[in-house]
Amino acid sequence: MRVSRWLRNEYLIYPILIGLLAVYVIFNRGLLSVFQIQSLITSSAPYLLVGLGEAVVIIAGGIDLSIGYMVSLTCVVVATTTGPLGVPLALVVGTAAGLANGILITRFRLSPLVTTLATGSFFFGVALHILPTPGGSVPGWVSNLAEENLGPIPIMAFLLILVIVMAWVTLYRVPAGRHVFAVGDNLEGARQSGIDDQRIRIATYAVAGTLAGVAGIFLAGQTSSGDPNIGTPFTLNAILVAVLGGTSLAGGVGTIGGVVAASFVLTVINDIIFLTNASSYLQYIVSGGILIGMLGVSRGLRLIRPVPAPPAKRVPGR
Amino acid sequence: MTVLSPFIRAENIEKRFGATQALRGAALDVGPGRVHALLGENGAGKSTMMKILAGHYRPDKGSLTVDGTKIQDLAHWTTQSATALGIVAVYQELSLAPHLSVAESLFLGVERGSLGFEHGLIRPRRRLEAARELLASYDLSEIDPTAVVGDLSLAIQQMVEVVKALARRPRILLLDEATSSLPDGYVRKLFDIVQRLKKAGVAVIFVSHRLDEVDQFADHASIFRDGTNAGSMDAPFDRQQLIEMMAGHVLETNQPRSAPAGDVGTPLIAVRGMVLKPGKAPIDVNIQSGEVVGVAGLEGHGQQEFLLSLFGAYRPVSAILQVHGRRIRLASPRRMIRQGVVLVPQNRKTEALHLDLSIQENASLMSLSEISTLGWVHSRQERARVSALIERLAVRKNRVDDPASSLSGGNQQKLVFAKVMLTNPDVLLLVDPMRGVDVATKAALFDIIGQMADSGKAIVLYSSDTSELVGLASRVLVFYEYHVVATLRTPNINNETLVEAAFHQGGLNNAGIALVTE
Repeated sequence: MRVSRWLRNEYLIYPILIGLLAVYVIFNRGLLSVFQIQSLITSSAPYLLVGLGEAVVIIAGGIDLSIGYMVSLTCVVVATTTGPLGVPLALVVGTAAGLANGILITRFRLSPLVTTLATGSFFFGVALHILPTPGGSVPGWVSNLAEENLGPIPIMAFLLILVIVMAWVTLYRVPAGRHVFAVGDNLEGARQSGIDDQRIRIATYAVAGTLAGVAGIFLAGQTSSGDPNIGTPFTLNAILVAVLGGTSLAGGVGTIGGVVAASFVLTVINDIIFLTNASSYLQYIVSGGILIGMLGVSRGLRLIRPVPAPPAKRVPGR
Repeated sequence: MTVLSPFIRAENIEKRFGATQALRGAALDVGPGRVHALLGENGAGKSTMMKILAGHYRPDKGSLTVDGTKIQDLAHWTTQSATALGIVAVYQELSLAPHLSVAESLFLGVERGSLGFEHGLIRPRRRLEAARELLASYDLSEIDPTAVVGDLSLAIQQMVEVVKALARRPRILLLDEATSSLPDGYVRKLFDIVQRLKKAGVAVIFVSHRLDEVDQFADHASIFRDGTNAGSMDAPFDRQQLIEMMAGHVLETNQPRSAPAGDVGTPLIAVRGMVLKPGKAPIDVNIQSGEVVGVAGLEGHGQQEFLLSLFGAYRPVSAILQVHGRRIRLASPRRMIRQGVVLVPQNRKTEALHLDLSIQENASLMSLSEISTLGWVHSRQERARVSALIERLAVRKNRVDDPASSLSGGNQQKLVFAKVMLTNPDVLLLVDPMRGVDVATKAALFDIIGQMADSGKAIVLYSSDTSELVGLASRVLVFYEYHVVATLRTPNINNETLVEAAFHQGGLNNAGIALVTE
């Protein structure tokens, strides 16, 4: 195996994760307890869900800045709907919100950046309107799903595995999944290959919405209440997890394994910040710093990695 | 006045783009007050030479002498250094900013600020006056200097581009197909301008595909072929000799392909009354199974649009398209692919390949539905099919998981072929598939195309290098200004006939070759 392959961003996340875990364990042997591992999994869950959704959108060449507010909105929906309808309604709301993003961006040819920034503000406003301050109540079984364990394993772990397997099959074993990569890598090429690029792109935004919905339900279950502000940090963290996991912001490149590892990395970093008794605001600084750092690293890697010569421009300078 | 002669001299110029040697030992020599035409077929290296003179490209080897002084530092030869020496170029593609006004465009980069300072404030009214004067001095006062460039017709934009070059007070003016979008009236005005420049001692070098203009404008002509000088001539020009010099003589002659015997059933693909641009003559073509139909002509005369229209990726003014005898309404690439019509696009990097995806993923992208059941892709079957084909096409082996970007240009092109062949198409549309590939790959692609035709597929091949069509196509449609001007058939397809037809010189044909004019 050539070295250059391992220098690619896709694989960079694994040594980072192993290194971080090693450091963490050395300074805090308590991590090796069953409880700590359970808590690592449940804390990572929302990052994994939104990161996966964001990664799919980015692989297809888009970006979703509304994902955190979709988490807020669905969380609020679960906490304010009485009866058994809360969870399905939240999933429908999440999917519909993502679908709206996708349709606006592809059918009306709007910029993904500005469109999702605007729809995000819209979702946030709706969430605040439904539930201005944290509150509401969540059905017991939702809390159990989020909190309880089956034997030593958190129930959430099974759910995450289910999501990962479904994502893997769709991305790697279904033609549409391959089309996601193709559309993100070269939109014109995909069109000329007969791929319905609009449908693919709409679907990625819808998937991001659904996964944001799952994350919102989970967070409502974990806190046993609804909070319109709960999703706010998740937009940046979703992008962070996707990029940290090797997803190229230029589209066409990304792996599920990388996203899973990156969500653990983010959780461990947050835990370390918590354990050092540093201000919790440090989390925001660290998240932003890592994202900028990652972009710098991938730029640097591109410089040292042997890249085939760029296509000869027909008319340079014009 | 002692004149340093010649003004500009280029010697032994070499320039390479990837696998393509664009110029090999080319030379050019132009004196003051001379109008020098640079002629040759597509890809002969004319434009590359012009761009080297203008500083857009740096030559790999060779020397440039301007005003008797040799340019020592060719490694830093840029448009700025060329402009400083008074070399200004006008290209076929426009470089104007569409949202600026004519006056702003004309003086862009050479504005004089208040008090004559280079970095002083711009005085719009003064600039407007200067623009009006400048346009009037070239008999172009009908162009409104306050008009926004993007709103003007292509011809007027081209004239603005010319005047913009003149505002830079060139001593050496390069016109690279600058007349291609001009109607006769403006060609006339451009001619007057060139005459004035000539009297003022400016050297003009120009590239044009219209031989009539060459007769009018030029004192001297250099003919390029395959990146080097094929000859030169003084006015008046002998056309027949010019064409022979441009066409050259092909050494290898492929076994000529003959059209499939008899008219066999319904054509695989047929087009009726296809009008590519408003007011152009309609095109009617039937293409049978096993036929290779060539498409030729000077670059940018509608060949690409014709193939893209057959694929549904370009919307002609009107057309009736039939595949297997069935009419296709609202043609789109998706629909055409489903009918078995596939296209190898001109630019493999931007239109055909996904460079970050693996070789295997690229190859199977269009045929995933055939190797999956109920939406599940059989990865082993996929790998087997792709590997077999990749091996057959002699793309570098056993690394089907590497990204497509790791392949060389020629192998990338083979990969594009592999991709469309995996869909098992009936009709193959090839847009200049040999561009920028080396000789070995070219031969391999020739073989592939021949085999595909033998197995009963219909092939439409557009090539900017007409010699590639010789021996491969059994029929060639020659385009000129968005319609077919001639259809050549097998015994009469050779370099001379193709070049003659492409330059629309059917009338001068004295070799007794029947040109079927449509």
